[in-house]
Amino acid sequence: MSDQKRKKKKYETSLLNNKPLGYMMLIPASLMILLISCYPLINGILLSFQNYNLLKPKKQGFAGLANYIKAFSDSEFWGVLGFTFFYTICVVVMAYIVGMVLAMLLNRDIKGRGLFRALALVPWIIPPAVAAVNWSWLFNDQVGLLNTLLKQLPWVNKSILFVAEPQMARFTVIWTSAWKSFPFMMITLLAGLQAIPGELYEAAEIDGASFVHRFRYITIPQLSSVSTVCTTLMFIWTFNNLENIYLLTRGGPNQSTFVLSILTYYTAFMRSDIGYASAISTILLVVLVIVMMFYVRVVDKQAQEV
Amino acid sequence: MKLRKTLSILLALVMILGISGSAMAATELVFWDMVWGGADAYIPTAEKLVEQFNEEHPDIHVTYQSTAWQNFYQTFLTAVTAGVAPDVSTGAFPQAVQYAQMGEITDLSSILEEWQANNDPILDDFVPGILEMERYEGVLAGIPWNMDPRQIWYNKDAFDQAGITEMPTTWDEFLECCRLIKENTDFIPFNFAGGDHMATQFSIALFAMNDAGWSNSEGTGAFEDKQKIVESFEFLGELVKNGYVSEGIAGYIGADADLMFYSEKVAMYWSSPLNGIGEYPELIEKVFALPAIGKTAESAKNYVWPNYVMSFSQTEHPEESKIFLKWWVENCQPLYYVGELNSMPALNSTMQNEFYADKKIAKEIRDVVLEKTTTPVSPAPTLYLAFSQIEGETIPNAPIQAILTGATNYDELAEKLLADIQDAFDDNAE
Repeated sequence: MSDQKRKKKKYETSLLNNKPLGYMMLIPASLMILLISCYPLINGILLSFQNYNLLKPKKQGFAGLANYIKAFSDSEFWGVLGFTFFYTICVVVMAYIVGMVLAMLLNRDIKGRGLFRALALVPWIIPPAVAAVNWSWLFNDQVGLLNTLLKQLPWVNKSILFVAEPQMARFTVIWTSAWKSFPFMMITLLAGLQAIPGELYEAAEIDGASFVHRFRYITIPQLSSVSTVCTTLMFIWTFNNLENIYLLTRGGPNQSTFVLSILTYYTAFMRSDIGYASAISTILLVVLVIVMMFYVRVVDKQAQEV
Repeated sequence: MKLRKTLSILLALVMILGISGSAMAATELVFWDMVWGGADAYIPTAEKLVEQFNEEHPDIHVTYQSTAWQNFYQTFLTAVTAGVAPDVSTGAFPQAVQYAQMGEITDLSSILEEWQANNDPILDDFVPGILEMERYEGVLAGIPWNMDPRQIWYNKDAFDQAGITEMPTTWDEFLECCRLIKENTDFIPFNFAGGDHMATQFSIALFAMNDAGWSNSEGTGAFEDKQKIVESFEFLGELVKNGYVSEGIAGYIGADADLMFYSEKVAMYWSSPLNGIGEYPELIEKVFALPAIGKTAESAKNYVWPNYVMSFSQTEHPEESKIFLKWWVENCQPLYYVGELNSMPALNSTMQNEFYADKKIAKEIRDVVLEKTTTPVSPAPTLYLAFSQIEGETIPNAPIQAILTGATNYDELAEKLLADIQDAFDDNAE
């Protein structure tokens, strides 16, 4: 190594060992994170202990746990919390199943594979507002394409009220959210499938294993870590998602498609009760932190196994 | 040395020009205006009006910002509480008093006093009763400029096909009208946007048709005669039970319901003044306003939202804001004549302008709809504080949507609604 190169390396090493400089380099990014992430979070939690109504600024004051007590004794809150879990689990399961089927299909060596992969990503790419308007027209009971097509079937003699009948509206928002979410599942699982060594399938085939056996004993175990990551992330994103439902049904009809994020929004901006809305969103945060802890634990366990 | 001297002279010149420039700078105002008409015609007309003001007032410069109705309640509330409210804005009917309650509104009494001092004919030109409607604890929170009615429109083709020759005036006649349309045509008899805030607005119309309302006649508590509310719900229930409304009505937002009327699927449509009908010129000749209906012919009426211009107390230029606001009220006629605004002006002289002779929809509103109208706060005489809360929280959406999805427990729904309305009053009384 020449003297010049040695000097350069020494200079670079000294830079790396300069801890104060390193910390200083972190300050701008850390300040930004504190500003845009931690401040609203802490402020939100503090507001949940306040009596804070936008329309009554003079009555603002410390409320202790009153907002939390109100939430836990409110039947509307429990109903919405229950539907939020139901909605989230259904969306994650449906998106996972559809994503897995498509990932396995697109993992095969078929003609136009690249095009199909790109097409499958379309629901994820479309902006939520555009998707909601399109779904709204498709679901319309009088002029919607879906009902027009369905009514051609001999056993369908009246329009299906996709967004106007409370139970059906619940199914509809689950379906549209799963449609929006499956491309993420597909692309993640596809990446996982491509990492499974082909020899495993070849050996299984020689041993006479059927497709179901290969799927059960090779694909599922090999994808377990990828599956955990993508379902956990999808759970978090779906649990606190607002726009997928709000843009389509606004939480209706008759609040039948309210989830916690819509209840929070409604409480904050329709009822102007920021304190109570903050308490609801803090509870939502706690639920998500528990899910995150589970996620971190699973990932740690898998890392140890590797 | 020479260079330094030249630079010093240049710097001095820049400073002098800068000072004189700032001394001459116009006062900057921001004006938020809702999209009151079709965006293609209304917004450019409003912008031109602002330009005209700026030319006439070189010491004030107003920046026009068009504000969407989507989530407007949250947009305004967030801006006001965050301290970034505009200097002047138009807005929905209850907003000015709502912000007056929060202490965020400039008192506009001085404009009224100026008109009074000058014996200005404008004072007699306002539609009676609307000038003082937005007064809160002595503060005049808004000046009226517009009236936005709600009414039933009908498609004459549907009526002709159904053989309807006489207009209904009572609920029974209206139901009969719906029956004829259902049995003799492919039209859906009646529709409105039951899936959004229009359901709440429909409750106002429905109750007004039965001499009822959200509040009592003093505006101090919930409406007292539950039976009238039950009767109103029964009428809506009859429409649903007999299939006279669209099956999916509880899921329709305004755009869905508009499209169904414009695509001639619906015979009668309860809505705002059809600002989007300009895109369907062939339809305009077929569409007429239905005369007001009611439980009885005597109680038949429509209702109209008087809309106001307001100024926020956060403004650093209250006097300039008032100058602009007053000018806007006095000079906003082009919004109707050029801006294709179908809703009505707050000034009688503008309303009677010959311009309306060949403006079909606006003329229908003036001559048919406004014949029998009341205000949204009826039977209360003026705006009460709980109104904002009831409307903002869309409290009546729940019973209306319940009936639209098949509920028939009218008594229970009426009782719950009145209790919720009373809660809003109690909340505001604290």
